[in-house]
Amino acid sequence: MLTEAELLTILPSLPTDAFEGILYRAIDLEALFGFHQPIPYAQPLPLFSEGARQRGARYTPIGGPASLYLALDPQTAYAEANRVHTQVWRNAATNTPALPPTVLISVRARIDGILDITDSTIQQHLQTANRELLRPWRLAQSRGRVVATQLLGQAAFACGNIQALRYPSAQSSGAHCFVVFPERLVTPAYVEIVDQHLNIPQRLP
Amino acid sequence: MSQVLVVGAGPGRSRLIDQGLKDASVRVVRKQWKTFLHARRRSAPALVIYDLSGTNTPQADVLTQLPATMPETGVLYLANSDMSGLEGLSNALQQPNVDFVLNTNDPRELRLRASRLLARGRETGNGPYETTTIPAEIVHNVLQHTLPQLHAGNGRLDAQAVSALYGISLASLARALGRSEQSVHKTPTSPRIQPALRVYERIAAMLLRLTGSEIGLRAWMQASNPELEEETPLDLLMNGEGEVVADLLEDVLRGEPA
Repeated sequence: MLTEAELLTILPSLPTDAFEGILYRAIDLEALFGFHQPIPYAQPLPLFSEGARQRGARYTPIGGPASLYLALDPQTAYAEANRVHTQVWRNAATNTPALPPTVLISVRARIDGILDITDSTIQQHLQTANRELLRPWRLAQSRGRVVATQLLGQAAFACGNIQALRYPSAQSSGAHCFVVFPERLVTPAYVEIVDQHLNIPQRLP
Repeated sequence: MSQVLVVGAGPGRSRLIDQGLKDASVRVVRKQWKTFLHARRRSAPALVIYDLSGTNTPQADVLTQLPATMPETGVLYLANSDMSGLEGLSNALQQPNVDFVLNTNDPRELRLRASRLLARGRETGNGPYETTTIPAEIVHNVLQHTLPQLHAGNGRLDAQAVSALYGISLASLARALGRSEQSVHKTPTSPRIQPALRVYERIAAMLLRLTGSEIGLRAWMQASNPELEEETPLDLLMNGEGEVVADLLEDVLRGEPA
């Protein structure tokens, strides 16, 4: 990966794409509604984007930009939300326990400035590769090591014109995901929950 | 050497700040808020760490006035979880030189945020990135986890129950808690071990939900994990890095990616 300064120089010159379609996110039912809180959430926030910068995420350093992580297919979103269950019970012969209630959410999105870092040409410009983009980041962050993907995410946000990164999923081989920077979404760009009966309405910006 | 001014912090918070700034090349000066209000006119520290949880601190005034009067100084507030009701919070967080730490039991976040503000100052107060703000509603979205079976009749967490649930010996747990086996055996609900046991409860509550059973909990804790560079969650927990395991599980519940 290029250095921070190099990223800030080159990122504005890289081509971006647009996307219009459906993205997905899966959230534990309790986490969405806060049922276990002393007072459940008055209004669930399925597009909650603060968790990543609160604790850090693959493309979001702690204290970095608000970031909304979405998958391009429902299977990947579901796999992310149930990866602990899968890790434990993958090889169990019988009697695998039930999964906790999980809400699979569809998100209608129009995003205009997407940097596609799954593209090998873009990766060459950034001097990175899938191996680096898929590398574990949690212990590196907690032990104070530089997380290259977080540098990239922070620099992409700083550029101003990049609304999202399209990146390779670390959970589902071959699948792609988006990290959207809600603070960079400018009309007509938006993301909104698809829910005909408006049970959990939310739209950004 | 940059100067960091710590204002209004009691002994507990001071220890946390010392841990957070352990590897930073800074000189730490401590003041109570009244003396600070005068001292700051004579010197310009690189960073002010201000503990908002202290008693009798002028919170609304500090939140609104301090960053504005010291635009070249980073201001890092330490806050309790009930900070959302503080008058002036929204305005304060719009200032580019302001940040805050909500989880004041963990020095890692403090270290990262302090480093960021210090780096910004080194770049002549005009860092390469826009400062982002964290809205107050996050206070209402922090997951809370309790597991009644880990609590004794007196309401405290019980080390015996924790060791049984995780399938580890009391001696091992005592070592991880920095206590002797005898003392933990004698007083398994000691107030002294409560803060350290909290992360065990947090992890267990989430794992029981995600795996569906105590067997599942122990299996996941003892398996090498690719997200954790093939280390086992149990080793990390026993070596004082339980927060990273708890954060992983909380991310799973929230649908955040690997």
